[in-house]
Amino acid sequence: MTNDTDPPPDRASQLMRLITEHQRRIFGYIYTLVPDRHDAQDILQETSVVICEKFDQFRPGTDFAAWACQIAYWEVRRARQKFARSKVIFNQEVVDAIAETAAELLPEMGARHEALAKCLQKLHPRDRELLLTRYEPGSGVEEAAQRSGRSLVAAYKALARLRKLLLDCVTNQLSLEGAT
Amino acid sequence: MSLPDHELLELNALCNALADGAITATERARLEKMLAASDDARRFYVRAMALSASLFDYAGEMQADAPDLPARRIGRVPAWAWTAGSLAAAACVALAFWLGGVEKRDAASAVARAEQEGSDDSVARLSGARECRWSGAALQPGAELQPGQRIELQSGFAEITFDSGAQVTLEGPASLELGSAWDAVLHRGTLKASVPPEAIGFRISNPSVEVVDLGTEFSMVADASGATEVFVLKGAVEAHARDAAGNHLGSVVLAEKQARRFTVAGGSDVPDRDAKLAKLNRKFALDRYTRPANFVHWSFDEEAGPALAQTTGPADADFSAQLEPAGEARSAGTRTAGRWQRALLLDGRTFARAPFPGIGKRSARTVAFWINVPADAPLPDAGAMFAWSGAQGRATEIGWNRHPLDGALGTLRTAAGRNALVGSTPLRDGRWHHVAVVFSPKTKADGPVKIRQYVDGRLDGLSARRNGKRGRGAPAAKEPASAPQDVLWIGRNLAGHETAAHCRGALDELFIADRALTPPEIRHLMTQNRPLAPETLAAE
Repeated sequence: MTNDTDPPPDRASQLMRLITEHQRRIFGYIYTLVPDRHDAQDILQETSVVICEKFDQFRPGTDFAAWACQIAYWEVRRARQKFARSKVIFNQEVVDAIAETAAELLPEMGARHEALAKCLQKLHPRDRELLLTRYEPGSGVEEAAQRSGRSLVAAYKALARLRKLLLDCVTNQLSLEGAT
Repeated sequence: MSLPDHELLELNALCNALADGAITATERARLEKMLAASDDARRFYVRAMALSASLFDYAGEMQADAPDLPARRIGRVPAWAWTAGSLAAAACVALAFWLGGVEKRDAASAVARAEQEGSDDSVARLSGARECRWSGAALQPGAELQPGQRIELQSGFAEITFDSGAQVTLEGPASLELGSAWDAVLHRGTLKASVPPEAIGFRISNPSVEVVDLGTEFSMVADASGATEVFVLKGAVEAHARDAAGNHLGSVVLAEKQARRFTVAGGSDVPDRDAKLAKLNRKFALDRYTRPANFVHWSFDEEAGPALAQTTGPADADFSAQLEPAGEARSAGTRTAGRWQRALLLDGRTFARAPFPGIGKRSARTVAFWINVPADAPLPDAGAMFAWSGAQGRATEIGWNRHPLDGALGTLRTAAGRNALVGSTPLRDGRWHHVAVVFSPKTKADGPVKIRQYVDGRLDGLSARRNGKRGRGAPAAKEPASAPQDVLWIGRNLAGHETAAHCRGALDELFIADRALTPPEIRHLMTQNRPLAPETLAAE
């Protein structure tokens, strides 16, 4: 631990660039371990603090997202100790197993995110609207149901159907791209 | 996806309920059970949840990009959209916590430590010793150590170098049980562990505490009563206390010069800490068992031309590689800025062949180099970086993985005969990576050759084994009977196929050593671009 409060300016801008570039993947990683948007965001904030602290240990040229996700993993563990079961809903063994799988799949996540954009374009605008309303910051299933004029049950069903559709579409999209 | 359809449907429904916050306690328990039981279920789950994470992102973007939408839909900036100001502030706050000792802080470590080694493979070797007396069978200098093996030292000092790069010096009487390249159990006695950054996450445990290294040097002393004292000589460690039943009691991060005593009843201060630290910090020399290695080195620093001369190597042999296809006016464009001076640019057509007597022999060697693969390199350009014909028609190829079933695409892949080892660090990102592949034949004459891969100095080659299976045989590793022997191919698979795949990217500083290099030697090659001199090795 050094006494310097901040990394030197070039390291600081490098840190900013890396974090901006990878925060979505880090969030995605945390969200698989702690599947609640707000809890995952809190842990992401905690993780960001540690990333800053530890940034002098990061070696340029190595995989930043993988390194950051290791930090996130420990923040998830810490969250469990601090908040008992409120944030981390799975037991530690399962969290560890998921973390391992998530780390393994990390390299493909960028491509999946990209492919999802294409798949969203293929949806009927009405379906896309429902889905994005549900995922908007501050929104939820209820609001999505209300705004689309569906019953709550119908909205849950529609969301489940759309997610499966998108999951399959992303997989197809990736295998198409892999084949070219 | 090998989950039965009904389970897949159920899993999908559970993931949906979870994503929408509508999951019941029973459903959650069921989901947990499925995730614990099946790798396929976990993969499905991770992809499904990542889809939701991406949707949060797109939905947030839509809002930010649509200022003309009705006011209620213009959301706040997502709480996790960081700004430079808040980030710097966060760093300051965290530092204040640290300095003030207000909050103990777990920190970064490696998830990869959980990687399991194949049980038939060694995970460490006895790299140094002084005045060793063993209980039971004496260990030979340089001995390869297996997972599960217990090192029983009566007196003296023994240094063990793990494949991860962590080094542990045992002081007898002591008993250490090896777990994998990433962990060991100290049953009793004193040890000192030095862990380079590449081996962060290495851990030593015993019944009362588990110590996870955060890049450092630490000592552990386990006495007969079951109490363990942990001393941090440099850096920091994370110590997890345990009770008699093995339950986790809490964690503490210990910084430099700090110490803590753990029993199954919990932690306490260490009596006579300073005196003990001073004793543990004393230096002493060990006898090392490393014979000097011979190297052939190509720097690829020539400005142009079809010849790639070796920079160092045996005086009586010429290992100069020739660029091909010959006769084409390609040689002008085959150099680029390298990791160290110039590098060889492979455009997906160019390759080189170097005469290399004995390359096919079944003997220990290390191939180390820098590689820069473009982020958009397509799968057909996953030709080998290096390839050679081996004994009994076995081929060896080092490249990046293009077989989705073997592991993550774009990671380091070494295929030797019917086996393939696939890493987990993505190489296909347009950046320079240091790669070292270590081949150590088993003592059995026709046994398999043990392969270890290091990417950027870190052990990276266990993912194929972790899934309980070796990679599938590389289709290109089947070689025709006419494949030339004693040739090192640079930038393409073995010849003989109508269309041998070629590699696209830049290659720099190829070293081939005639023995298995140790993790410190690989680290030295990576950081200094020259072999670690034997005298330096002894002094370290």
